[in-house]
Amino acid sequence: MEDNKKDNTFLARWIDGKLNPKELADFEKSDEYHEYKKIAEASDSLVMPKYDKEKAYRKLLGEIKSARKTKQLVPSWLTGLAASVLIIFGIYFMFRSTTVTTDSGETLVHILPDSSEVVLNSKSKITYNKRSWDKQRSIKLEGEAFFKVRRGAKFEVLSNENTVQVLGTEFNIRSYNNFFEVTCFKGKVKAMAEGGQAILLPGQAFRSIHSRIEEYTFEKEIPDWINGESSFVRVPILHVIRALEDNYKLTIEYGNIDLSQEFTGSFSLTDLNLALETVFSAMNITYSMKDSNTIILSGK
Amino acid sequence: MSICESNTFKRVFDKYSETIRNFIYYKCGDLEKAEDLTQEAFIKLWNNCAKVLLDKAKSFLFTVANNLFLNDYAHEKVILQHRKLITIDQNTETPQFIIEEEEFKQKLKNAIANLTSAQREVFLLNRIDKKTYKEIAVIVGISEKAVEKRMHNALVNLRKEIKNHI
Repeated sequence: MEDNKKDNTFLARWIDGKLNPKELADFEKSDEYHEYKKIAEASDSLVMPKYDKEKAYRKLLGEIKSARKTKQLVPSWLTGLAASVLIIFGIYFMFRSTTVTTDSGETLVHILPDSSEVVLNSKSKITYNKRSWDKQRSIKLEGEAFFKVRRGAKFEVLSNENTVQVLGTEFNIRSYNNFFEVTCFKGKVKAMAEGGQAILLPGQAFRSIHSRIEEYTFEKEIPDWINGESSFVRVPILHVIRALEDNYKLTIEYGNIDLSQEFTGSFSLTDLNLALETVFSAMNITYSMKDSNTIILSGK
Repeated sequence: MSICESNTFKRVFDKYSETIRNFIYYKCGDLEKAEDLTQEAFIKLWNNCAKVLLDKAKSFLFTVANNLFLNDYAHEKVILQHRKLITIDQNTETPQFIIEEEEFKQKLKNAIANLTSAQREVFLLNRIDKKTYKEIAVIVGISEKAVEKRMHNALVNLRKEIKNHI
């Protein structure tokens, strides 16, 4: 039984001992059951640092009597900090902004605080603030990522000067220099770039290449790159070359070829030779390996 | 019975102060602050003792503490890193078992720190303070059903987070 098949209070009822015998028996057979059991047992033995009620009460009475005539000299967060240094083990509540990056050829799934998901493509980076996430779902993106957003308040992706706003949905963003593309897979997405904006429904895409705004449609359930392919629809070859470079950690010297010619198709993210062949033979471009990291192109 | 009578006030303090302190701690991860705000909530209760009926004291305290927390939190500019505070009961199992268990608990604690504060407070009020969903609903000021949803999502996220780090 997968998480998504259960109703949204299932685990709460389980840990509270409120499942009916049938539900419980089914759950106990599932793969994740023992993982949840471990969490339940371990969390049961968590305790808070001791609380000295009498001492706290005496302190309170002291405060009430002095009626807060004195100002606090040391900010309370500072004393908190000093005290916390003495404590050796424990939870870190991370309140600074969180950055997640991927290197060439890597992809990574990252779960946001509200359990929205970001799948990062290679050479990409997201930054957001965990502390204020509850109030403001706002995330910065460089590169390419696929978002599965939990329903809730406005969810905003900022990249360069472009913005994408959604409520709860699935969409992909590719954002590089002079290249911004949003594809919507579920729900509704509002994409904004300099010079234009669009509200996208599933199967619709919006992009701005060198400030030229364009909308188009596609037929896919998820982005190709999730399945190991990167695909393009009438994209200037320059951006395809950049994607190849990012994914395979290459330098591609493009000599005198026409960089504005457009490429439609996909390339493998796992097999370099296949990728080069599919892109460049389709475009009538010859390529040769200068060394293991450098490729030279020339027109046929 | 009036809250202005010191015996009654003390009883209210004994009954709720620890839960309030824990509740605020689960939100901010700062024990000193949690204890300061708890104290401040009780000072406000004392100052308003003539206006607050005994059976409203609980919701007054939780609401005030929460508001104090929200205001404080909004103004806070510098927070570096908040360390720990949740320690674990000692046990007497065999050493290897302890090591594995401690490792798992460490992962669990990190995962708890990564929950949203809405999920964390529900989860910990239930697991540490052993509050029922009904009681948590009153403390947090949401419906019982919403508490169950948060609890469910907290568990889903904890499992995901722990899995990601294996």
